Amino acid sequence: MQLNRFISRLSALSFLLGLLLPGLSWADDDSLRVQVMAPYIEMHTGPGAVYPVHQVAERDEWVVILKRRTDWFLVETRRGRQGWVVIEEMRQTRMEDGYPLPLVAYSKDDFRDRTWEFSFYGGDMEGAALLGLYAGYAFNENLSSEISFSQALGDFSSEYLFDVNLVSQPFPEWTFSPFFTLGGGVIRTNPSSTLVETEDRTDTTAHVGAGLKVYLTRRFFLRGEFRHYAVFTSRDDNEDFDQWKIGLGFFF
Amino acid sequence: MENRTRFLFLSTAALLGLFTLSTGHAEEGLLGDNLREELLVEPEIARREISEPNFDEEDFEIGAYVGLMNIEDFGTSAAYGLRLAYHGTESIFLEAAIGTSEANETSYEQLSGDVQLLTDRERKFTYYNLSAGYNILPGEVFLGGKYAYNSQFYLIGGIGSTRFAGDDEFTINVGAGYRLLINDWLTIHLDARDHMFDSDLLGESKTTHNFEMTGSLTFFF
Repeated sequence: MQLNRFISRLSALSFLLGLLLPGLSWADDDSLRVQVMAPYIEMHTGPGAVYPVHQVAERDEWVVILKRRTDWFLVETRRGRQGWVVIEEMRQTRMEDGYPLPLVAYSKDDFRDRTWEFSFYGGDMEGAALLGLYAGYAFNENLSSEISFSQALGDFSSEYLFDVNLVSQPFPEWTFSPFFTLGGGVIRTNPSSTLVETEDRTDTTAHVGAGLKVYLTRRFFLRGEFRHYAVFTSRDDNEDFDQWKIGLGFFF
Repeated sequence: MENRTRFLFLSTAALLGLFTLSTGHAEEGLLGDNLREELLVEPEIARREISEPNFDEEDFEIGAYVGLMNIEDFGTSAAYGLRLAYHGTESIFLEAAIGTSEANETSYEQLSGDVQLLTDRERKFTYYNLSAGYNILPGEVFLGGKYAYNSQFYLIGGIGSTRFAGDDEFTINVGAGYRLLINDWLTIHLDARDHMFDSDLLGESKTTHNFEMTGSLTFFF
């Protein structure tokens, strides 16, 4: 999914917010029509293998694709019956130009070719619990750029971190693919309200790090990372600290 | 004689040329370019861009919720929030949520008259969390003999942060919910969640359990 598509979806969403009427049909005129090539395809009552098959579409029958959710497609027959069909069976249909319907099931290769990735993570920062999320944009399969927000929750203070970094992934084809990162940002420290010295402060930081990305399934991946931060304070000496984190993400 | 010599020479050359052609070395054959072009058949296959057709993909779910939250030692009050989920497979989803509630007075504050443990601002209970969910019991519910709706019972848990009484606390949430799909894009949730964090607000440090029961309206986009 491209970003502009995501944005158009968001704008469609804001439109829908003002139009929250149940029972509306979203089958518009430019919906995609496909012809069944298999002996039949099974239509389930819901988007999942556990939902029962309530009807089938036979060979040569034309169905309209209304939408996709994960690996399931909502289709409508000529008689107006709707049902969910799994991606493997949708591959056995052809479009109006006679070509088979090209459908993407997400695989490890797609993970290599990803453009966007999003993840949230938890971890440890010098004894404080760390949590946060990031968005990444891949320039190519080796180089990407990331932006992240984190919060570290310690006994005496809580810290907010904002970072921008570059990520180099020299072996994108490996299952356990290592990466190296370099970046900078700011850290804002809010001392705990029970402490006497309760002055908030903001400092700039720089960091280096390394980690592993592991493709899991579909659009999911796992990521573990270690970072070393240096904080440039206005006080007498600079500080540094370490950060460990592990996260679950999805990609487009 | 001259003709015969020419014939032999040419036929040998032609045979050699055919031989080289048949063994796949046509490039260096002795036949002229014209003949070679006649022998080769240019494939007339138009290149076709294979790209997935554009249709509506609805893997995201967004919505708002209202309900009740029991803040440990501080009574029960209204809670509300927003949730955004991404469905990666038919079973697994990731969810980000922000919510807020407000603490009442403790029983001590109520009994002692005008003692106030917290300022009004500190009574605000706000949280955000990042969770993973699993649709464990998908099913169908029937309304009368005519209507059937898909439903999913899910388990969910994650991490987040809660701001209460002037402090941010690392919070773990676990819970379960029930998602009823009114149609293929509109859903109703019932969700029960326990937000757990360590607090030393009332003297000794303890893990507080803050139960939240909410109902929400969400839709897929």
